[in-house]
Amino acid sequence: MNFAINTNIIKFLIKIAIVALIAKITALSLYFFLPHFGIDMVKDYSINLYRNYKVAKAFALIPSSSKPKPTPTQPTYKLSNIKLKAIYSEGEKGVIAIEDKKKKITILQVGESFNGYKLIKVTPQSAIFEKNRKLYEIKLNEKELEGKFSITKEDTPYENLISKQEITSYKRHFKKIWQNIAIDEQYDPNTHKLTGFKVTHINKNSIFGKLGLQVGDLIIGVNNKIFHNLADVYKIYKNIDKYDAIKIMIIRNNQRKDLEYEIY
Amino acid sequence: MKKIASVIMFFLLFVLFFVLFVPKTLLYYKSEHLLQKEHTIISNERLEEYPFSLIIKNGTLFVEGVNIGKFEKIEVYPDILFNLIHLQNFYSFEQLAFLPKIFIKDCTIFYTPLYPIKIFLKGTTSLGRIEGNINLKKRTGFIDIQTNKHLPIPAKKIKEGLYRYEFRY
Repeated sequence: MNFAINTNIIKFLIKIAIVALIAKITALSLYFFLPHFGIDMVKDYSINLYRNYKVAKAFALIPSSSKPKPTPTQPTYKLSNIKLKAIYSEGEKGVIAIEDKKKKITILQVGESFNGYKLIKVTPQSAIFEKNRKLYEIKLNEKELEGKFSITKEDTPYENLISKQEITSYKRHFKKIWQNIAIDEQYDPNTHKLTGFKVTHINKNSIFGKLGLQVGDLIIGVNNKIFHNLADVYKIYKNIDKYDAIKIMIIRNNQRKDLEYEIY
Repeated sequence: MKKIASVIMFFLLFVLFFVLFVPKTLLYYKSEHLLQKEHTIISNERLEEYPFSLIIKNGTLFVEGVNIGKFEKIEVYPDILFNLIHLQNFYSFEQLAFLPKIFIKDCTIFYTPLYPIKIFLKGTTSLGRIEGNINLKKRTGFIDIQTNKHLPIPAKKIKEGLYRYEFRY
C-alpha cells in the first residue's frame, strides 16, 4: 500500500519537475530574444548658431572696438539654385553650409568661392555672395514654415535689447516667469503633436510685455528651431543665458512674425 | 472534471516556475527599448533581481529628452496573469517650470491579460489620493484626484474635492 502511495507521489513530483523544466527552457529561450543592455540618457550637444553674434555692436548700439562692416548699397539678387542650411558667425568671421541641387553640402567661410560666387558677408538670416560686381543673397532655409505663413516685419516699436542679467534672474527664479506670463500648450487635433504655446496672459510692464508679446500670440519656435515637443522648449530654457541674440517666432492673426532681440 | 482541474493546476505551476526562471532584468531592458520608442527613458537606475520581482532603485525619468523627475524605488512583479508595478517616492524635477511639481508618495499600477483593455492605477501624491485607469484600446486615460488644494494641472471638477485629469497619448 505504502509502495503504491509513494509511486503516486513520485509520479506527481516527476510531473512537477517536467513542468519546471518546460518553464525553465521557455524562460531560457528568452535570453536569445531579449536585449542584454539597457538604455541611459546621453547628453545632447548642439551648436548654437546665434552664439557670439553681436547685432547691437554692429549697429553701434553698444560701443565696440571693431568698426562695423558697411552694409552693401548695391541691389541684391536672390540665388535660388542653392539652399542655405546653416550659419555660424563670429564677429567678421562667418561659416555657412550650403546645399546644391544634387543635395551636396559644401561648407564655406567668408572669402571663399563657390562656382565663382565669393562669400563676402554672413548675417544671422542670410549669406551674401559677390560675382561680377553684383551681390547675391541666399536666405536661411526655414523648410518647416515654407508655404504655411507669410513672414511680416514687426511694426510696433518694442525694445530689442534684453540684459543678460535680467535673463539670468528669470532663469534662477523661474516662478517669476509665470507671474508675468501664462502660456497654454497647443496640440494639433489630428496628429496630437505640439504646435506651439498660446499666450493667455501677459503683464504688460514685465519683460515679456516689453518684448512685444501679446495675448493670443502662438509661440511656435525660437532661433529658427520649431517646437515639436516640450524637450525643444526645455533645451532653449536651459541654454537661454548662453545666447547673445534671440528670435521668437510667433503667429499673430494667422500671420507669422519674428520678434528679434539682442542679449547684452 | 478532475482532468480539467489537473490541467489548470499544472498551468498555474508552469506560470509559477516561469516567473521564477524568467530573466527579469532582460525583460526590463526590453521594456526600456519599447519605452525609448515613446521617447521615454529611465536613466542611472540600479537593478536588483529577486525570484519573483525586480527592484529598480534611484532612477531618473526623461520624457522627450526632458528630465521629468527622480524616483527612489519601483518594484515590478511580472507575471503572466497578474502584473504589478509599485512606485515609491517620485519627485518631479523642480527646475521644470512648465510642468507641475508633484510628489508621488506611492503608486500601484496593475495589469492583467484577463482584462486586457485597461491598466489600473492607484496611489497617494502631494495633491491627494489618486485613482484612475488607462484604456489601451482608445489610447486615453484619466486620473481622479481627491483634493482640496489648487491643482497645477488642467482637471475637470466632478464634485467637491474630486477632480478628473484626462489625457490621451
